[in-house]
Amino acid sequence: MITPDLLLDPQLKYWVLLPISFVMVFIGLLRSNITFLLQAPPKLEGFKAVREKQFLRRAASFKTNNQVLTEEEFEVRKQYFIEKLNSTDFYAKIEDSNQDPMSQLTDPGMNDALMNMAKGNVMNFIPQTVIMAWVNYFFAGFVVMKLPFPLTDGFKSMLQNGIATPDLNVRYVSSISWYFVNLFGLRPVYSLLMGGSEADALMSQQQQQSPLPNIGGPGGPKVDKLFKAEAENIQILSHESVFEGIAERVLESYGV
Amino acid sequence: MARDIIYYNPSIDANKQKLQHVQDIASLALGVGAGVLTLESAYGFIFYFVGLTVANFLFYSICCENQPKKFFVKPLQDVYLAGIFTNIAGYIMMWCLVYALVKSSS
Repeated sequence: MITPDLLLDPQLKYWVLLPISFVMVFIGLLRSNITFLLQAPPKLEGFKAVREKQFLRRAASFKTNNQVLTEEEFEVRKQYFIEKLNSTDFYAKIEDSNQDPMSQLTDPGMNDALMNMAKGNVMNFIPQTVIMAWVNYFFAGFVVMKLPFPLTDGFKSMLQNGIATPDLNVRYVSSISWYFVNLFGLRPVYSLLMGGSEADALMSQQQQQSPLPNIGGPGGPKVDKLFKAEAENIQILSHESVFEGIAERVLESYGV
Repeated sequence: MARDIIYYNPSIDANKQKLQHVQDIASLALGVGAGVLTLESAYGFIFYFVGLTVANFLFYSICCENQPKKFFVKPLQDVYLAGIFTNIAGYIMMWCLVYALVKSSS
């Protein structure tokens, strides 16, 4: 039997590896609960803003599902949508187009969105920094474990942080690398503990993904641009009914 | 004339989530297995790829009833390829942990 380069104290795993894992799992759980509590209840939107979004959605669903309509129905709806999308009937509020972009920054809605984003980022950022500092301070300066796979020497300075043995095999690593392995590898554990979607939200840094285009929101496109684009899309729509050639298709599918 | 199948996106997402759940458990379990066997370097990764592909194959044949077209838009890619690199982190974590536990107590 070949003697290993280093003999590691069996007590290391009880006092270093498992505590770091447990702390990271529990802080992850705590963080997801706190994020849930900090979430502001969704604000009630004015009916005009909702109407604007719904109208856009209606136009989009007309665009995708028009094949169930007959020719006349299609034409009537097409005319209607083009007319309404080009008018200002469904706008939430009519703005003059040459508005100063700086004035958007003082918009109260903008401030709310920024606040939420900042909160999310803080909740993402602080726990990681705190745990990393804790691991670095508390478990500094000794070899904790041997990795089961070899790494290149480039990782040496990062993974053997605080160990003053220049020729040690890179497979022997200090506690900070166990922290990193945990940081990337805990997603399946979270998803088993909490259900998949929350785990994904926890792991991803960007959580603001709204399914609708946020009309009039910060950085979002302007209403009139969206409406004009939709009108053009509907303008060039060509109609093909599902009943087109249905007799042949039925006969074909039954092999007659 | 063959018409395309129309998929309902929320259902597709739910199917993907089920697959993800299976792969989560599979990668953690494989990590424990590799650690207990004290596999090292390339053997460990081969073990992972083979094991996860077997798990995917079982999902493909049992959960999808061999008709994955009904449940996934791009069955081969979604079942076999998509998860294999995103789940490797969980595997490596369990592998390192159990390897360290087993090695240091022997």
